[in-house]
Amino acid sequence: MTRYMNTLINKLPHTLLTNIFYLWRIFGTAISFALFGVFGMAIGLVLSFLQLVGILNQKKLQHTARATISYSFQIYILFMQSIGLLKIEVIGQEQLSQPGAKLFIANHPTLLDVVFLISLIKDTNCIVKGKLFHNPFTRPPISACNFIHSDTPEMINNAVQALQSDENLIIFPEGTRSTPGTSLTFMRGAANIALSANINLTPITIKCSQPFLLKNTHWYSIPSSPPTVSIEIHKPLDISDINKLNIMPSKKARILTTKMTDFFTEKLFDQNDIN
Amino acid sequence: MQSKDAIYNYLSEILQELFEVEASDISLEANLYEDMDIDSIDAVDMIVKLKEFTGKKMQPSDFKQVRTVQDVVEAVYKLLHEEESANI
Repeated sequence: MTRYMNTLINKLPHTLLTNIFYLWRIFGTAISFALFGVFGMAIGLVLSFLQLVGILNQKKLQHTARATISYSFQIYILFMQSIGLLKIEVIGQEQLSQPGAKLFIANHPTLLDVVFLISLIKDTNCIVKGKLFHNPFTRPPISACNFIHSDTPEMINNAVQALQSDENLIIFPEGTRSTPGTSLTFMRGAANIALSANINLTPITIKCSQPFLLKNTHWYSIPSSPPTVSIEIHKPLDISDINKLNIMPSKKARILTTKMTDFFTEKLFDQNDIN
Repeated sequence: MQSKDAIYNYLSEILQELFEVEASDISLEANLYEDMDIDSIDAVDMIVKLKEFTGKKMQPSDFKQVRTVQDVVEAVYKLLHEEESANI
């Protein structure tokens, strides 16, 4: 049976197979979006219900929510890989278990970046855009996980407090998905948080072999072949040399943000792309 | 008894040296947050610098309504001359 199938497949024109696979991946992408919406909402609602009837208190809710979502995301990524939508490779995973690794910064090329990182980093907090709180699909899980809102004046204090309570924290310093074709623009919140909490930043670079789920693109604009997403966790960026300078906090934040931007720019862009 | 011009000039210096703002972007109407990428941490440092300039106590609450360069100049001028009019 398999031999027959192989012979049949070898006889079909290559372009027909490619097209069939392409259509399959569009179908798979649609299913994946739907699954995310449905399960995200369902998990959020179940957790809220458990809190409502008193089975989970606020702290337990947060812990359970984060664990549930981390495991759900691992399964979700395995699912997408198994139906051929993408391939993930993780480099430097051992950095995650280092004692000083608590504050993670990453660039933000695709819609799935949060999913990738939360599946890798257990029991983590995250700074999220306020807009996601108003989206009915992302709101229940985000509230259950007690993530930090980016657009409030208390953001930095909340983040520092979380880190001091020994929570992990993920920040996307761009604040939103990267605009394709432009250089990196990092906001200074992550730097201010690191300096204030006096914790080194662990950079995570996310690279896609092909454009994938970018800002300003349609959900059905998938690449011609399944992209490989390379997630690399690097050694921490030391902040102590900047923190001990005798200058104003705002200046330290600018220097550190430049250091972060330079690091990511060097790692993300090939020599022959920019210059 | 600093004049508004003196306040403006000092503020302009702070903006350029501390916050890396281009001189050409500085004007009375310029919005600190939207035009010059000043955030809340910067605002605290700006007030510290203004305290050095005026020698007067200043609170972040004094600058709560401040949005533009002109707002800052007016706020500082008001604080500087408040004490004098109280003494009269």
